[in-house]
Amino acid sequence: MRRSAQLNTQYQARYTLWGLAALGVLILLIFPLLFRQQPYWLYIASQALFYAILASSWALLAGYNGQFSFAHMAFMGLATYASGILGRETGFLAFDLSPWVSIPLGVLFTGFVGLVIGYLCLRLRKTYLALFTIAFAEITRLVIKAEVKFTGGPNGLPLKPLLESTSYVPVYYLMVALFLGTLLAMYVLVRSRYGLYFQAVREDEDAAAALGVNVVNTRILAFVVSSMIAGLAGAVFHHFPTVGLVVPDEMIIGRMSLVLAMAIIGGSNSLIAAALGAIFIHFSLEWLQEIPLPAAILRTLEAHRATLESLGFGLGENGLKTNAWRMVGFGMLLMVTLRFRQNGLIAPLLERLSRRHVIQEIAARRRAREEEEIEVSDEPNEQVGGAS
Amino acid sequence: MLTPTVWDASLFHASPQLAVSGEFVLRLIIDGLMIGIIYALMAIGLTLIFSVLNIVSFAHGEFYMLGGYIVYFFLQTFEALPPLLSIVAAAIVTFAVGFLFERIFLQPMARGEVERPNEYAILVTFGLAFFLQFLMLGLVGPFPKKAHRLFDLPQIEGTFFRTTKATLFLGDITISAGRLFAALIALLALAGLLWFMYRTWTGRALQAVSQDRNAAAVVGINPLNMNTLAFSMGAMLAGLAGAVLVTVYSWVPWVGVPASSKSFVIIVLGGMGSIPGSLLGGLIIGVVESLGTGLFPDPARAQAYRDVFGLVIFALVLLLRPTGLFGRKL
Amino acid sequence: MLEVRDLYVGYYRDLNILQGVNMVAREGQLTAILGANGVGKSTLLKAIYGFLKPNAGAIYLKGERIDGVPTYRLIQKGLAYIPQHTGIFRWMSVEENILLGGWTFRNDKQRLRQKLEENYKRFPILREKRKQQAGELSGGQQRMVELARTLMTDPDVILVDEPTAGLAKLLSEEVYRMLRDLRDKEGKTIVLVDQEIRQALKIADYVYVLEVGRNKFEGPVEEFTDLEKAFWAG
Ligand SMILES: Nc1ncnc2c1ncn2[C@@H]1O[C@H](COP(=O)(O)OP(=O)(O)O)[C@@H](O)[C@H]1O
Ligand SMILES: [Mg+2]
Repeated sequence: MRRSAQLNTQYQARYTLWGLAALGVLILLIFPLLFRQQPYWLYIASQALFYAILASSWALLAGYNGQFSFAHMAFMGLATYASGILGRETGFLAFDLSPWVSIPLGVLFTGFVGLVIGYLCLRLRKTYLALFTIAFAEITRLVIKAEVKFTGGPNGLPLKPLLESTSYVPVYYLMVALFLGTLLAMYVLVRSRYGLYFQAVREDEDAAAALGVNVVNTRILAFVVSSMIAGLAGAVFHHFPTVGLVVPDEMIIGRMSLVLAMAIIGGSNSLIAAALGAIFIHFSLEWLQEIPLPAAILRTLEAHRATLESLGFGLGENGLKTNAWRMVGFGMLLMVTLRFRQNGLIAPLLERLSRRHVIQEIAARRRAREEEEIEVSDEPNEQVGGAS
Repeated sequence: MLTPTVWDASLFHASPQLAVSGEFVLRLIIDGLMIGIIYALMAIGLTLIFSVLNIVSFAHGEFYMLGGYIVYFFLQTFEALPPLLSIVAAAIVTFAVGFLFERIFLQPMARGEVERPNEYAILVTFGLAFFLQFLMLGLVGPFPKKAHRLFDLPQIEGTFFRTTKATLFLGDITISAGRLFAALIALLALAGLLWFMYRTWTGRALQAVSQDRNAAAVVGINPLNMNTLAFSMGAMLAGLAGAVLVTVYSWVPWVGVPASSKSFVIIVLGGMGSIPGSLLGGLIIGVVESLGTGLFPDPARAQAYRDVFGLVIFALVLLLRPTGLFGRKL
Repeated sequence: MLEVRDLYVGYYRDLNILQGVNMVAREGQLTAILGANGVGKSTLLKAIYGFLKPNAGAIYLKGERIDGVPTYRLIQKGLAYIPQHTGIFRWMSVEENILLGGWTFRNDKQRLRQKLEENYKRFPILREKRKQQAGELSGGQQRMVELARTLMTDPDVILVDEPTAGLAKLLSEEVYRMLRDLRDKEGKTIVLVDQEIRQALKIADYVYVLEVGRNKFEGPVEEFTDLEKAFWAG
């Protein structure tokens, strides 16, 4: 009887969750209507979705499969550069391809590189993998930066527009489609047999292998899929007429840290939590750039402009500019999250809504009860002294 | 959104190009050795951390960055004080920051209070790097800073050996005073460190913990304290390396990134956890980098490729011989 | 001297390897703990020495509760431990290894020198090899280094886990003689975990036999004259 009541809450929770998902999609779809007058926020929103794809695909690799790669942004950049180079009119390897062709080719190329790197990394565990991927990311970035003739060097590579219109609206909807599509694909993947393999390999590679999981394929699959998704997001986003350029500095480790922070603060054990983390952080960072303040306060602050500026703040038209300090805040938040909320800040909320914890709590209670029973039924040391 | 501050290590780490000749190669080697000592100092810090705490600190470069900035601001603020004090200040501050971080964020891991400690260690030190980079960006801004050299050379006139205030001449070979002092101070710090590690009780205790943690606890050494000490000292060594190099290179909040990848290269070369290995690894990387850059056929790209050489070696060693070239512990 | 009461301990939170073990080691006696492979003898010593946290039960040393006291404090309380697998500092010299045994009184140069000298008298071979890296020594000599290091502090109670496993017969007899001497001449309390039942019974005063996770039986060594009976009875 009790059990059926619990199952009931579980079903209700599932409905809540689907409801929330539907609400989320609805918000995504009507967002342009809400911000019709502010194309700027529409642009920010499509950028946020770009980061959401990156963060969730990183979560697929790191959170689900335990491969802490720092080359994610490098893969993003590789696909973008590959597509850009293939789409050029002149120069080495320039085929003047349409973005609709060059993007898939760029993504395939990235998948291939991911395959090679994933294969090379097979023997490397945790720390060594992190070191290797950092090295790979830096080499990629430095080479792209140095080969000016081939890549445009530090000034970047211009990319053909993917769409004719320079309005932010189609760009936004394309990004929404890409976001939902990749999220769904990854969700299907982690819900499949392979998702279980991913997690088994993360928990204990040797044990997983002993149980018949093909560790090599699993690790490489995770690497290739997540690199390709990162590449796809990068290539599509940079081909927008509103962007149209990729520079090697987008691949710096600092940018990688940001994606990582998004996934961790959201919760790297959950694709959707990582994505929400990215959206939340991206919007916060944008908002924090200039915290709106009432004119009165601004006027008082104006008197201290010099002090503020020497501290790295600034005063804008409508508010306080936080410049680097907003990032300092997120750095702190990242460390504190890691220390005290290893599952992230958003994932536990989702968990609570989906009531998955109910099942876990029941299991824990049952275990506790069983343990008690064992202790009661056992009379330890009956035989002590039996021999004497 | 986040405008990436355009930054390139090679931009600030430039040295003038000369035609290839015997002297030129010799100069490159001397240059490489002098910088190599400093790389080694920094890498030994990372080695210390790795062998005692069993983690790689991804914030190592940020302690280097911090050390440099402290010297820069110390020299600006306290012009009247002896300039060497600035180096001491850098050592103290980086030690203290390392100490606090270890106590707050790493100690719980050593106590077994954190799930998935390997992943936690990577991420939390990475988080510290992120935090420190932007903290300094907030405090000092993105524009390159460079400290003037700490001392002038004494004037010596000679035919083979002579000096000006800023340069030492050995025949046709020139050595800049800034680099010379940087190398000398690093050498001094290195000697002090080796003495500490191999001749004092505390140093032996650090070695003991790195070689057998449980056995060290059995003889009465508190491994948690040694963790804190090793991390703080490691941070301080990186800080010292930055402190001496800020007089040679320009400083931005991101200088630590290539510096830490160099340390990674070196400790992997040196066998993850060996002080002599790291020392040798540092010298090798210094020379390879210097020669590679100096002799690269296309000078325009040479600077850009400077950091690539080390990284390629690194990737190869990781893949082919993850135990490094020399294997032992501290 | 050392007492273990109703100890529950394991390597994972919800899996107790020891389930209610009791043991008393009396002053000046050699207490042997015997039992088949895997019954948890080493686990018991690790728990006493603070490497494993008990889930229930208590451990007393000289009347003071020591469960929960961190490992590195125990040597100062007069409790020493020689684990089953040698724990020497492989890349340090023999002498450095032995000296580290005196970590707790490292500022007393006089005492250090005196203790070192005592140990070299006890193990003359170690004096010969004092400059050598400890990791290069043979297994038996590494055991000696460990023993010497342990004896630096003059502990009252010594826990020893299978000290002769893997040693040549002659050497292992030497080790047993030494353990006996430590008890007879220096009055140490010793807890010996061993698989070498015959040898252990020769020198023990009191014997505990464990079976998987708990006491099987115990008694003064005299009751163990008939080995077969002792082990197959009950
Ligand atoms: N480090 C460990 N982690 C998990 N289980 C262990 C560990 N060490 C020993 N065990 C388990 O504990 C049990 C008792 O081991 P141990 O105390 O070493 O036995 P003994 O010393 O009596 O031969 C064994 O079943 C063994 O598998
Ligand atoms: Mg055992």
